[in-house]
Amino acid sequence: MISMYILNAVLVLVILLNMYALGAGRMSSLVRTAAMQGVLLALLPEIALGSRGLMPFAVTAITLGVKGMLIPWLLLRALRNTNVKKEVEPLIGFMPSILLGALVTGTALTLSGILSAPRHPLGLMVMPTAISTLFTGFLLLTARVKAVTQAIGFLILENGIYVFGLLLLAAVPALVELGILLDVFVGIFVISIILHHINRTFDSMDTRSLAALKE
Amino acid sequence: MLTAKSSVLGGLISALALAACSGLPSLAASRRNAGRMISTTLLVAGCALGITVLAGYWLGGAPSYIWSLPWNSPFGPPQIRLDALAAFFLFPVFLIAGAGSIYGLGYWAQKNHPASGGRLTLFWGIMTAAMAMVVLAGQMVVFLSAWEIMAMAGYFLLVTDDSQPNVRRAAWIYLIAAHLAALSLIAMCVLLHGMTGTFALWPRRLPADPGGISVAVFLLALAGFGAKAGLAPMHFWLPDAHAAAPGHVSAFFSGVMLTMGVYGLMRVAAIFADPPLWWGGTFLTVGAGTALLAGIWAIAQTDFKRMMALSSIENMGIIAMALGLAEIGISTRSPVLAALGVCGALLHMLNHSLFKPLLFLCAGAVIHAVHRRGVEGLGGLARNMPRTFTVSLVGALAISGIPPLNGFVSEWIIFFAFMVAGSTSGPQATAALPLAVLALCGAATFAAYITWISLIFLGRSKTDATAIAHDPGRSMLAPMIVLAGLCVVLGTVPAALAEILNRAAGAWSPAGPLPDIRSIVPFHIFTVLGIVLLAGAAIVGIALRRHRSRRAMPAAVTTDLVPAFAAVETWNCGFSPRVGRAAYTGGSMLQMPTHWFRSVIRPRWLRPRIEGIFPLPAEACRESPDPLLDYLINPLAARISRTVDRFRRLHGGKSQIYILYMLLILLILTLSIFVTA
Repeated sequence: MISMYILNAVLVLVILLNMYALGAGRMSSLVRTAAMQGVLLALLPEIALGSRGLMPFAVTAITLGVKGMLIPWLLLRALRNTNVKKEVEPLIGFMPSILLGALVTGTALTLSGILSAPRHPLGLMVMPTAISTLFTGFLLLTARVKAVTQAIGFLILENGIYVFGLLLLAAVPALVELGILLDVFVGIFVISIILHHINRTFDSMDTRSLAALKE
Repeated sequence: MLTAKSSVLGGLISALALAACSGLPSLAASRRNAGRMISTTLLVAGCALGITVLAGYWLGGAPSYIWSLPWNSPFGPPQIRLDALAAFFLFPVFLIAGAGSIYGLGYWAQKNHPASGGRLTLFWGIMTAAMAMVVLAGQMVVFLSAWEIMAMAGYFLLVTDDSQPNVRRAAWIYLIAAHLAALSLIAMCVLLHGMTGTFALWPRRLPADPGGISVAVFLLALAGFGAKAGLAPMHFWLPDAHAAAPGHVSAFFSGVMLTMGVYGLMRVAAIFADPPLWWGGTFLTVGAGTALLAGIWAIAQTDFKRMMALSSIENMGIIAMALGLAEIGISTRSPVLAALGVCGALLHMLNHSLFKPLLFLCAGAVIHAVHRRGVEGLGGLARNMPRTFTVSLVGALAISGIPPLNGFVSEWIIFFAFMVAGSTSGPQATAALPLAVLALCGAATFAAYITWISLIFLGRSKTDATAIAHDPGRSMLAPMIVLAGLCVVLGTVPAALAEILNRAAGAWSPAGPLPDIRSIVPFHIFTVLGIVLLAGAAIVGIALRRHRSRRAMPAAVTTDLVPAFAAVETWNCGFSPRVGRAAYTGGSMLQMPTHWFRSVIRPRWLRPRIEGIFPLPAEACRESPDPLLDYLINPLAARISRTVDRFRRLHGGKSQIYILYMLLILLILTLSIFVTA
């Protein structure tokens, strides 16, 4: 019973972090938000679901290491080294973004009962959280200009996928989780390299400059 | 213990691996000639190994081998299969790849082209391996992958000289055509999979299905393989591509890549045990149309590589006609017609992949010597390039179907097949009608090549470029001489091939065994005819040489542009201009046939307006572009491109927009889940 409370509390925290990410105006706080979300989610199987065994533990440890430390370090370093302003540049304003996020979260909460996905015995919060986090990631990807915010959007998107994975914890082998993690890491790694190149080529990290590469 | 099967397959795989990797040393040391030499040696070794293995395979009775890779992929285990038909098509691949790569050493020398030479060598090897794999593939995924690699390697070979805008344009058109072909073949494979339930190729003796799937398979194969073989109207990529590529690449394309299309058509024709009569009729009609159009277009070309490319299309049309006859023979249960048709198609394919590469290599040697592709301004090269002249003459006579060369044998067999079809009673007797087309094509080919020979090699040199021309080096001459020799050998002793033809035809036949080709075609007559004609030619040649040495023309005539005295030259209509520039040009020689066939050729004239008493200098020229491209393909492509252009607005170039599209799709999918729930 207590584990269900912890689970729900963590999931609510994750949703709150989503909202915070949508409203964050500084790059570094955005990076930290995503990292914090990653850490919370990495701990979930251990503290809330009571997973035992070597493999879940390994997944938790690696996720913590990659999402909590390695990726934030990479991104913060990229922010430091590239000569850009530290503010997030939104295409859709902060307030409308938060409202959109809230709307989607609300819709997900009301509609998740209908979805025929496997329901988690511990609570009904998992599915709406996953949808909300996915959408937040997408929103950051589409509604923010700079390349770093896109990387973070990608990271939060992956967090959403991870939450979905919780529903299938018994069914999906840990290896798949690790695989997804590897994908994300490689993705971020590549993005930070691209960042470097965009910065050098266009003297900015504005992804809109990439439109110049259109045929 | 090494069984026959494992040694044959192991040998072939090693040959392919050698060929595929052969380009690496050249790429690694692109500044030096040594890398190129090692690469060529590797490739030639691979090809020699391949030919040796094939010879052993034929001696061993050409059984059918299937070899599966123990890999449980979703498409079943990848398979390689070798039967007599595949082995028949493999031979030209190895032969032309080997000969062409040696030729390339001189033609596209590494020291003159350090950057593109390495690339050329690399893709040459990959192309060789991919084409061999297309023939060997026994499973759809292997086949389609090899097909695609072949198409892409062909593209890179084609753009070897990528500084020229016309080369890039031709390569672009080639790429479009190659992908259209690949698309049809993918669709064909999907349908075949639906019919058989396996991914194995090539299914045999399927019962006719009542639905239209077999028809769809047939039409898709005709479009896909026909585009590769250059059957009209899918031939549009071919003339430009062959004209734009380096000489030995054109030879490779024309001699081997086109036959991959023929191979596919033959395989598809053999799928169904009881094909409807109209299939053969379609092959016959498409082939006849292609041969007729391309044969006539070929006459009007002043760019001789375009002329040769069009004549390749014409030959593919002839092969398609023969295949059509074979298919009609199967449908009407006439094994004699089927055997004649398929043997004619196979033999003509083999002959074409000997004499057409030979001609392209000769054309390359001429271009190498005088640095121009058109017949304008050329002439009299026979004096400076006697060896090239001799092998060109052999090639031209072979392709025109003149005995004792190999083209005669295969065209004779196809003629005979037409006669057999015509001598039957029933609706299939109408199949003999395209006989007239075949006859006209023979005449057109002869006209085109004799014009080419006479304009380039005979007559008088019209510019300085031809005066300093000389025979190419040994590495370029040797492959040409080998190919010319094979043309003569196959023309005089075709009986040597009879057993091979029998086995390949047997491997093809979708309806039981076919009669022995030796019982239908009197092969020894070709030998007798060949010996008589060769002896006659030798006597005439010796007599001419004596005659000439007695007359001893002064050397001044051959080198000086203004001869010391008037000697009337060949092909100048008895008129002897004082300077070469005033002689008839190639274009004027070609004008009469162009005028006869102007309704089909649709030449474009650029005529100057001549005004006043003292007009300014002016130029006139004539172009003979591809009418089907101008009147059918281009308007169609423009219309498609206009329709597709509307979607360009979606392509904004911003990554955010693209992600938004993904989000929208996801939302739609999620909503659809809600709706269905």
